[in-house]
Amino acid sequence: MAEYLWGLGLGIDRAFYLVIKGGGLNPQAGRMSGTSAYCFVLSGVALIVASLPRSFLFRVPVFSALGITILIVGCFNVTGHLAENPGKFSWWTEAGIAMTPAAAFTLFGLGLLAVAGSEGGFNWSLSPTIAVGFSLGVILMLFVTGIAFNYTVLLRDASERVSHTQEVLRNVENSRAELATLVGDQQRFLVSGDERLLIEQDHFLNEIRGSVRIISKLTDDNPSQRERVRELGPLVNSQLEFGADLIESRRRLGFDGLSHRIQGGTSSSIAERVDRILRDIGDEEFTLLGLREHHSDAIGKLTLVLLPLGVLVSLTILSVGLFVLNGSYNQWKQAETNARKLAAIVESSDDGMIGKDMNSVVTSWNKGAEVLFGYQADEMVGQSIMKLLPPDRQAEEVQILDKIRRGENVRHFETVRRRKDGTDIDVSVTVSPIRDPAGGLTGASKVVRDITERKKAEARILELNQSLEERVKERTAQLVSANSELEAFSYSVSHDLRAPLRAMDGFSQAVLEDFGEQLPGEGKRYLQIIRAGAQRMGALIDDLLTFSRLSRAPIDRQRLDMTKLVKDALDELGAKTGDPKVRIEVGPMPESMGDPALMKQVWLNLLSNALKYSRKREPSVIQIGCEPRQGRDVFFVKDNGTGFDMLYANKLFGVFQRLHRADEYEGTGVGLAIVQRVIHRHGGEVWADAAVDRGATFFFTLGRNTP
Amino acid sequence: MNDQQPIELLIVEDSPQDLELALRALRKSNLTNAIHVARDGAEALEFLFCEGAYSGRVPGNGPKLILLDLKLPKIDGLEVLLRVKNDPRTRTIPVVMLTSSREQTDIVESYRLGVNSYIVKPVNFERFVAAVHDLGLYWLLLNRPPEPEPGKSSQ
Repeated sequence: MAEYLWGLGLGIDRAFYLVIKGGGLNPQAGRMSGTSAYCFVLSGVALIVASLPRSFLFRVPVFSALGITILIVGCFNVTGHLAENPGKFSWWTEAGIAMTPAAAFTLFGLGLLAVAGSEGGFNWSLSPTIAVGFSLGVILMLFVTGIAFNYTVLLRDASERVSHTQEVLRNVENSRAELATLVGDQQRFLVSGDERLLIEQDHFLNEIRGSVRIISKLTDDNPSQRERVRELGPLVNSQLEFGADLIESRRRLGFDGLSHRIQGGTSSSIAERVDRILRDIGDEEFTLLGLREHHSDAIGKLTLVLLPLGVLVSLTILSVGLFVLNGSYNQWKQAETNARKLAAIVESSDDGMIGKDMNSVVTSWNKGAEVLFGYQADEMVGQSIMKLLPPDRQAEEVQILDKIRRGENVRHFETVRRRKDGTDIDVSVTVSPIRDPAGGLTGASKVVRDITERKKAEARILELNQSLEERVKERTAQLVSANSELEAFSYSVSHDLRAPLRAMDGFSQAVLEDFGEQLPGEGKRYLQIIRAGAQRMGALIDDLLTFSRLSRAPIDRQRLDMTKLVKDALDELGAKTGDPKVRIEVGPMPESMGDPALMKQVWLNLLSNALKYSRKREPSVIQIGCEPRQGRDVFFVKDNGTGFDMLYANKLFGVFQRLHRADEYEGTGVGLAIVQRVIHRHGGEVWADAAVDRGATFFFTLGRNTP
Repeated sequence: MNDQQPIELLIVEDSPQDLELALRALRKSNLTNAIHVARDGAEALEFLFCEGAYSGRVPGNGPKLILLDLKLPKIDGLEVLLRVKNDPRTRTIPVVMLTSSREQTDIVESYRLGVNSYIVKPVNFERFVAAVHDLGLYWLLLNRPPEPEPGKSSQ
C-alpha cells in the first residue's frame, strides 16, 4: 500500500506475488492490485477497531463506514468482472481485485455491517426471511449499480478512444500535408533559389515535430504503432537534416552544385518512407477506429439494456420490499392498536397493575397503582418493589419470585403493603410470569387489589356472627323457657279444663238418670245439649293437645314402609277392603325417611278425611300412591268426595279452620293442621287440589331422602 | 267411719265433683262397701301408713286397691305413688292412676314408678262409668294379690 501511496519501490509485495502470478500484461503485473490492498487495509482497520473496548466512542460509526465502503468496493469489483471490465473501476489505482476476493470482500463488508448493527444497539425485529431478502436486495442493487457504473465507464472509455483515434488520424494527415508542403518548398527553392520560399520552413518544421510528438503520445498504448512511431522519429529528423543540408548546399554552391546530391534521390526516398509510415499509422488507427466505434456501439446498446433493467430490478426489489414492509407495518400497527387498547385498559383499571423484572425492579406502574400506593409512576419505575413491602414481610418477595421462576402463578395472595405515606393497606396480590416470544422469563406482572374494605366487611361479618350467636343463645334460652311454660300450660289444660266438662256431662247424666221421669221432654233435650257441648269441648281440647304434642315432640327419623303405614292407618279407621261401598286403591310407594308415629298420624288424618268426605258416594273411591315430580317423591290421597272450593284452600291447614258445616261433616278442624305441622317438621310440603263435588286430592312430600 | 273396718278401696281425689261422679260410677257397679276417701296426697299417705289422724288404724287392713289422681294438693300423685311402691308394707297394693292427664311424661313416669294401671278419665260420663266398672271388676274381684307376710306387714 505504501508503495502505491508514495511510489516507493520497496518490492515487498512483488517478492511475494511474483512467484504466484509469474508476471502479467499490465504495468502492475505481479503486484497486488491497488483496490485489494485498499480493501485489506480497511479490513485490518476494521479488525483493530473491533478489538477496541466497547466504550470507545467511534467504534460503531467507524465500523459501519468501513463495512459500507468494503461492501461497495467488493460489489463494484464483482460487477466489474461481470461487465468484463476488471480494474476499470478504481478511484486512484489502475487495477481491480480478482473475482473471488471481490466476492469475499462483499461478504466481509456485510458481516461488518451486521456486527456494527448489533453493536450499535440495532435490534432486528423483522423476520429472518426479511433480513435475508433485504441483504439480497442490497447486494442486488449494488450489483445493478455496479454493472451500470462499469458499463458507463466502458462507454466513456470507448468514446474517448474513438476521439483519440480521430485525433491520431488528424495529426497523421496534418503531418503528411505539412511534410509534403515542406518538401515541395525545399525543392522549389533548390530549383529557383528564391529565398522567400524558405520563410515558412521553420514553422512547418515545428508543426511536424509537434504532430509526431502527439502521435507518439497518443499511440503509446499500441505496440505496433509505437514501433512505427519509433521508426518515424529518426526518419523525420534525417529528412529534415537532409533538407537543411540541401538548402545549405544550394546557397553555397548554387543550383548546379546540387545536381549530384539530387541525383542521389535520398531526399525523396526518405520523405516517401516517412509518408508511408504516417500512412500506415493512419491506416491502423483507421482500422482501430472502426473496431472501437463498433465496440462503443455495442457497449452503448448493452448499457441501454442494462440500465433500464437495473432500474427495473431495483424497482421490483423496492416494490417487494415495500409490500412486505407494508404488511409488517400493518401487523405492527394492529399490534400497536391492540397494545394501546390494552394499555388503556391497564391504565383505567382500579386495580394496581405493576410490571417488574426478575430483580424486583418496577418496569411499569399504572394509575390504579398510583392511587393505591400514593407513588407516581416516575417515582417507582426503575425502583425496587421492596419499597412497598413492610419490613416484616420482605421475605414474601423472594417466595413470590421463586414461584414465578418455577413458572407458577401467585393467585389472590392476601397480604399487607405499605403506602408512600407509611400507612399499611390490606391487598390481594396476583402475580403472573411474563415471557418473551421465545418463552424466556423476562419479569412478572402484578395485579394488586385493595381489599381493605372487604377486610373491614369481613371483620364486621365476624362481629355480627358473634353477636348473632349470642342472640341465638339468648333466644334459645327464651324459647326453652317458653316451651316449658307451654308444657305447663298444656298440662293444666289437659288436667284442669276437662274436670268441669266431666262435671257438666256427669251431673247432666245423673239428673237424667235420677230425675228423668220428672222432667218434661224439652228438659231432657236441653240436658242432652249440655252433654253434647261438654263432650265436643272435650274433643277440641284433646285434638288441641295432640296438635301441641306433635308440634313439640322430637322427630325420630327412620326408614318407613309407607305401604304398611297406610295399611295400619286404614285398619285403625276400620275401613274394610271388602266393603263394596268403599273402594280403596293403594299404589306402590317407595321407602321414605320419617318419624313412624307422626307419619302414621298424617296418614290417619288424611285417610279419615277422605273416608269422611266421600262417604256419601256409592262407591266412594280412595286412591293412595306416590309419583315422582321434579326429583321428589310426591305422596297423594285422592277421593271422589264432596271436595271444596279452591278459593278457600288457604284456610285448609289452619287450626280450627273448617270448610264444611259441623252438622254435615263432624270434626274439630285440627286434623289438617296436624298434617301440615308434621310434614313441615319433616322438611316437606303439603298442598291440595280440589273442586266442589269432584273430590279432593292431598299431596305431600317429605324432606330429601337423606338418612 | 270405723278405723278398724277393713278397707277395700282408697280413692285419692281432691275434686268433689269428680269424687261424687266416681262414687256414683262405683255405686252403679255395686262397689260401695269399705271405700275410704282421701282429699289430698298427705292424707292418703297418713292413711296408708297409719300416721297422724290415722295412727289408730290397724296396718294390714287394706286397702286392696288405690285409685290415685295425679294432681293433688300438698303431695301430688306421683310422690304418693313413689312412697307406696318404695315401702314394703304397701308395695303389693295395686295402684291405678285415674286422672285427666294424657301427657306422655306423666304416663311414662307413673309406669316407671310401678303403677299398675293408668286410666284417663273420659269426659263422657257413660264411658267413665264403664271404665270404673271395668277396673273395679278387674282389680277387686279378678286380680289376686299375694298374701301379706305376717312378720313384715305388722311392722
